[in-house]
Parts: sequence; C-alpha cells; structure tokens
Amino acid sequence: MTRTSSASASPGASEVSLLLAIWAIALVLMAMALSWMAALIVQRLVGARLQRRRVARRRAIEFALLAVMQGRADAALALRPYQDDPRLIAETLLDFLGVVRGRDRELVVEALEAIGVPGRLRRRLSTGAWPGRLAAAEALAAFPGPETEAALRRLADRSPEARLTALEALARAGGQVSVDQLLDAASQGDLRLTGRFAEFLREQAAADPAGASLALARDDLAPELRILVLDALGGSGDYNAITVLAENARRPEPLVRAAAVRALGRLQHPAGQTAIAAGLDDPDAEVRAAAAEAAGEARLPKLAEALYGRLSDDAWRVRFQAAASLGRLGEPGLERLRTAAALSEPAPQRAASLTLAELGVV
Amino acid sequence: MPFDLDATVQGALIALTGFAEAIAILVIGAGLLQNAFHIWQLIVAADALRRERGVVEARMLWRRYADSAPPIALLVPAYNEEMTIGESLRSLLALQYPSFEVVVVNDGSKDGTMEALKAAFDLRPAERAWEPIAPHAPIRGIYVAPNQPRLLVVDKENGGKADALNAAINLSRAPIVCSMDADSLLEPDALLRAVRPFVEDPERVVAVGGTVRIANGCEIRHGHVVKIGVPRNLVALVQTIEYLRAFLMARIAWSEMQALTIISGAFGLFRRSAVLEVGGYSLGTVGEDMELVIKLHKRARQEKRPYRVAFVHEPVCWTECPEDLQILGRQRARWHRGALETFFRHRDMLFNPRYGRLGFLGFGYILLVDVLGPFIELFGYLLIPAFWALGVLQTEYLLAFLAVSFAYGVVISVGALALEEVELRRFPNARSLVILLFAAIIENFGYRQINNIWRIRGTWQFVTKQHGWGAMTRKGFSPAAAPPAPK
Repeated sequence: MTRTSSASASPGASEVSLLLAIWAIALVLMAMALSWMAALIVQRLVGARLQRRRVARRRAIEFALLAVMQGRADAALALRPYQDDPRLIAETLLDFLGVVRGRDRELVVEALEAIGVPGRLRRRLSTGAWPGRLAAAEALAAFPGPETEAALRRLADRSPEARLTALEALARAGGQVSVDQLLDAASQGDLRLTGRFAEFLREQAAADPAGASLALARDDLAPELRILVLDALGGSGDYNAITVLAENARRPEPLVRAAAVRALGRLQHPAGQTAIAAGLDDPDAEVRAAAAEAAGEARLPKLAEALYGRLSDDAWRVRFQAAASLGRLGEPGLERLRTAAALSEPAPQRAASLTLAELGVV
Repeated sequence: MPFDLDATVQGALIALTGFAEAIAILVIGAGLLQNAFHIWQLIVAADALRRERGVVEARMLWRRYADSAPPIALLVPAYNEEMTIGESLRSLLALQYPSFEVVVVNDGSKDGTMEALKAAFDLRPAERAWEPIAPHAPIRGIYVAPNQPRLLVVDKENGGKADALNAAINLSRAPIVCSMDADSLLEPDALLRAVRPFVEDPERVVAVGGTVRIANGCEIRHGHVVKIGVPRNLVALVQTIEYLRAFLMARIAWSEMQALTIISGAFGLFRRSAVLEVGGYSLGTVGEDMELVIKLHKRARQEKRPYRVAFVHEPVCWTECPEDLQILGRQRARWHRGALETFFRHRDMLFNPRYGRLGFLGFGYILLVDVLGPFIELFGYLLIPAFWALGVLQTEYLLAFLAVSFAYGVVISVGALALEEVELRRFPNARSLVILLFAAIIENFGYRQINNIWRIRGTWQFVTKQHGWGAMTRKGFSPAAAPPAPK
C-alpha cells in the first residue's frame, strides 16, 4: 500500500491483482446500483400505464355499480369483464358498501352474485398477495352463507392478522363468533391483543353480554383480557352484568378493579353505587380515580359527599376526576364545588375553582 | 560518532510510512465498518418494507382502525409564526382522524402570533385543570375557540421548544400526544397511519416516529402538499436523498433492531403517561427529541418493562429544508451538537449490558459515527492526500480505495431511493427518479465532505458549550414559493 513496502516503483503481480480486485469491487457496486435504478425507472414507465389502466377499470366498475343501483337491466353485464380481478372488485365494493344501504345495497350484492363474484372472492382467499386476500375476506362479509362461512373459517387458520380479518368478516356475514372463542384464541396467541381485537371483542360482547359475563367466571383469564371484557360489558347496556362487575371490583389486581368500577359507571344503574363507593376508598389511586369518574358518569348524587372528600386526595387525577364528576351531578355537586372553592386548603380549592371555571359556573 | 544523515532520513521515512499505514488502515477500517453497517441497514429496511407490503390506502385504514384509534393531542409550539400560524392550524384541524385536539403553545413570541391566533379563531379566555408534571415557563393564559372545540391555545413565557411542548403535554388530556413543528405539513391521514403501532400493540408501544419528507419542490395549497415534486435547488435536492436514507433506511432498520434513538421533532407520537413518567422533555438541550427517546428507552429498560419504540415508513409529514449552505450548515451543526449532548448525558449507557442492544448497537453507532466519525473522516481527507503528496502512499491504491468508498456511498444512496420506488412510489414520474439518481451520485462528491465540516463545527460548539439555535430562515409555504402548476 505504501511505496516503501513495495520492492519497486511499479506494483508487483500480487499487488496488481489486489488493486484489480479493489477496482472490480468498486465498479461492480456502481454497476449494480445504477442497473437497479435503471430497471426501476423502466418499470416506472411501464407501471404508470398499468396504474392508469387500473384506475380506469376501477372507475368502470363504479359506474357499472351505479347503473345497477339505478335498475338498468344490462348493468350486471358491464361488470363481467372485471370478474377475473377479484381484488379490484373487492376493494371497489368495500368502498361502495361503506356508503350504500338498504335496497341499493341489495341490488349491488345481487348483481355481483349473478356473475359469480362471491365464488371468485372465496378462491382469492387462498391465492395471491395478502392485501388482496384480506380485501377479499372483508368483501365476502357482504355475501353471507355456508360457503362463505366455510371459506372464512379456513382463512382463520392463517396469520393472526388474517385470522382477525376473517373472524370480523365472519361475524359481519352472520356467522357465530363467541366471546369465549375470541378469548381462547387470544390466550393461545392465535390472535394478538391489538386495538382492533379489543374493538371486535367489545362488539361481540355487546352482542352477547350473557356470554361475556360467563367468560369473566374463568379463572384462567389474563388480567388484560379481563379488562377488555369488563370494558365491553360496560358498554353493553345489560344490567344483568352488574353483579359480575361488582365481583370484579373486588379482585386483587388494581387495573381490573379500576376497569370494573369504570364499567359500572358506564352502565349508569344505581345498583352499581355500593361498588363505586367502595372504589372511592380503594388504596390504589388508579381505582379511586376510576370510581370518581364512574360516580359522575352514573349520575349518583348520593356519592356527592364522598366525592367532596376526594377533592383532598393526594393524587391529582383523583382530585381532578372527583371535581369533574361533582360538576356532572347537578346542584348537589355544584354546591360542594362552591364550598371547596372557598376553602383555604390549596388542593381542593384549585380543583374545585378550575372545574367551576371550566363549566362556566361562578 | 559520525552522524549518518541517510540512515536518519531513512529511519524517519520508515516511521512516517508506518504512521501513514496505521492512519490509512484506521480510516479505511472505520469507513468499511460504517459502510458495511449501512448496507446491512439497507437489507434490514428492505425486508421490513417488504413485510409491510407497501402503503395501505387511507380509506382502508379508516375502515380498519377508526373505531379503535385512541384520542390524540397534537402539540404545536409556535414562536414568531404570525404569518403562517392561522393557515397551519386550519390544515391541522382538517386532519382525518376520529378524535383529536390541537394544543397550540405561543412560546412568548415577539411578533403578533398571539394576536393573529385571537383574530383567526375568535379566542376566548378559559380555564383547564392540569397537573404540573413536566417543567416549563409560567403560563400567561389559556384560550379556547367557540367555533373550534378541538383547539386549545396556551400563551406562555418564552422557554424554547422543549419548554413549550412540556406545557402542552401537561395541559393535554389525550392518551397519545403528537409533537410537531408549527410549520410541519401533515398528510391528511398522517395520524391514522402513525397511530397504527399504538392500535396494534397497545401494551408495549411508547413512541412512534414517522417519515418526514422534503417539501421543497412540491406544490402546496392551504397547508397541504397537493402535488409531489423534486426540488429545483441542488442543496435541497441532495437533502431529499439524505432524508430518504435517514428515514427509509436507517430509522426503519433501527426500529427493527429495537434500538431507534431518534424520533424527529417535526413529527412523533408518544404515550403521554410514558412521557410524563420521565418528566417530559429535557430543558437546556438542542437535541430534546433524541433526549426524550433515550429517556423512554432508559426508563423501560431499567424497569425491565416490555416496550417498543416503533417507526412508520409511510410518508406522514413534510417539512421545508434550507436551500442555502450557510443556513443548512447552522442546522446540521446544531443537530450534531444535540446528538453529542444526549450521548454524553447518557454515556453510562454505552456498552452497558443493562441496556442491551441499545447500549451496544445504538450508542456504539453514535460513538463511531457521530463522536469519532467526523474526525476519522477529516483525518482521511487531510492525511491520506498529504502522505500521497509526500510520496509514502501509492497513487494506484489511493484511487482504488477512493473509488470503493464512493461506490459504497452511491450504493447506499441509490438503495434508499430504490426502496422508496419499490415500496412507496411517491415521486410523480420517471423523470423525477432520474433527477434523484443524479443527486444520489453527486452528493458523494463534495456535499458529504462539507457535511463533515459542519459536524466538526457542531463538535466545537459542544466542546465550547455554545448554546442557542442560530437563525433558521424559512422561505415559507406560500403559494408563491411553490413551483408554478404545469399548464
């Protein structure tokens, strides 16, 4: 590498080969990079044409579906040229069904059934790229029936994402997806605890609150799953769940207790008062804050005095929730807020005066 | 004893040759290590992008995620933004997301920012209960807009960006907060895209970074990028390639390795409770964005809690970059100073097994590339030609190694551009790809070397404890700044 290290001014044979190797590496790297990019530029030129064609085809499908909705006899025939592209049909259909309801929706579904779209969508579930498979699964929800159900159940054997999409589509197509089944799948790792899963579980629990209440009796239920079911029951509007929610408000895990009292608040039934009142004295601040929130949510004026006491809580979020809930209780709550706002003690005074100011009440 | 001049000269020459060899090996070794690591990052990023299967359409995202998307508070620090704040906020308030609020903090602006806000949104004084957890300068007033229930304006004394963000975090109530710059341009579906990791992994994700792209050359109307273009200015053009490399290659790869240490201050989502647990943004540093991410990592690892700092590759935010070398130099020196401040503040994490791959890979990389890198590169640029001029290095080898070094640089830049084209395809046509390919090649000849000088300036500022941000002159996103629409 250095001049003194070589015997003569010109490089020796081994050095020449080393030099050649270094140059070869440089040139090969450059050539690879440039040809990669050149290929992509050519692909872009060709791809732009394909993309334009795809946009035009999508527009044609949309026009055909609009014609179907207008009751034109030949409209379904206009869809035939696109039946070999189930992904395109699925994606267009999903957009359409997002805004179309009632008789118009039925007309669209009937027209697509007439040209065999459901069958093609079912076949698409097991072939091709994943975005297309998932779109096909979602679109299949519009074509309920035993064949659709069987196909979606088969897809539910695949990745967690595909499994959840298939189960959602199955439920929308009228298939049976129980809360227990979802909890089992989540416990075994077949479904991941995502926000989407939580939302789906919430929907299923709201549709079958009795099943969700029963699921809470399971001892093997992980706390995070229990919290999701409690949350779902809170939004179900089923007062039969009050007993099981009150039981869960006494469990050892603070986050579970907090979820249970919050759910009792959302049910807005006076029968939840005892458990919520107990929550206000819980040793864990998270539970006290949840109970304070629940007392306001359920509009329980009998808890006004207990909430007033919580205005002096050590935890800011408990004081904040207690003040906010007092503000929701009407005159009994406002009266206590005014009293607290006049106190010399800074914590309850600040919580109460800020809440009154936020409410625009002097 | 007679003095042998020849022997002395020969001895000195041998010593100099040995020194030259050592320097050459050090420079080449460090360069090869960096390049090998970047090539590896390119492969990791390509694999991650392949698994993500491109960009999901916005309406599909809405259908899948809207129901389960948590509320977000957009934190907008504003300092002397009188001319643009109204339009910026209108575009933010028009974002597509089920539940969000915009918390604007007027950070003691010296111009008429507060008056502009009051006039644009008919602001009224209000009160809001909040817990002072993250430290910040005193708040002068809180305002709401009767016709914009999503908007909250906080007027406070000047304290800097981190200080303003802390005030906004304290006052916000959403579980997720989004930090951004007042002049960041968000894609209409930016929040829906960026929130995905929080929806998909709600237990572990504490922060999400989003891809920031260069808006120079794009057509912008009413605070939105309506037509993507490539910059006509050469300085902005090479930065486009730099941003692609930084976001599409490096950050994806770091995220895959669970060692992402930077989330751009222009756009980042954080779990509010996690940010408050670490006391919010650190004050008195110019690298507050990196500092916060490191604190989140540190806390979670110290408590042995499962956590994730994720990154979304889909373009979510656009920003104006400097088109002038002087302004760019100041910006880069400041960025470098920020990285060094954070590195030395948390130097206990370097190669510390307690912090796992973050301590070894993340901090090791900062040590090699940010702390030592500029000097190694400078040694290379100064000493190797000097040795060659003195006749101790062979021209053939010098040229061959330079060729390999530049070839690696080109491969990495072109690779990042290729990833964009394969997975995202946001540039409008083949012509723009050709222009960017040209930029990916030429940035290795001159720009990279100037960048190194700026980094050394940043090191000097850090060593001499110079503070302040320096002036950042922006052209602005006015329609006049955008290129004319094709006829």
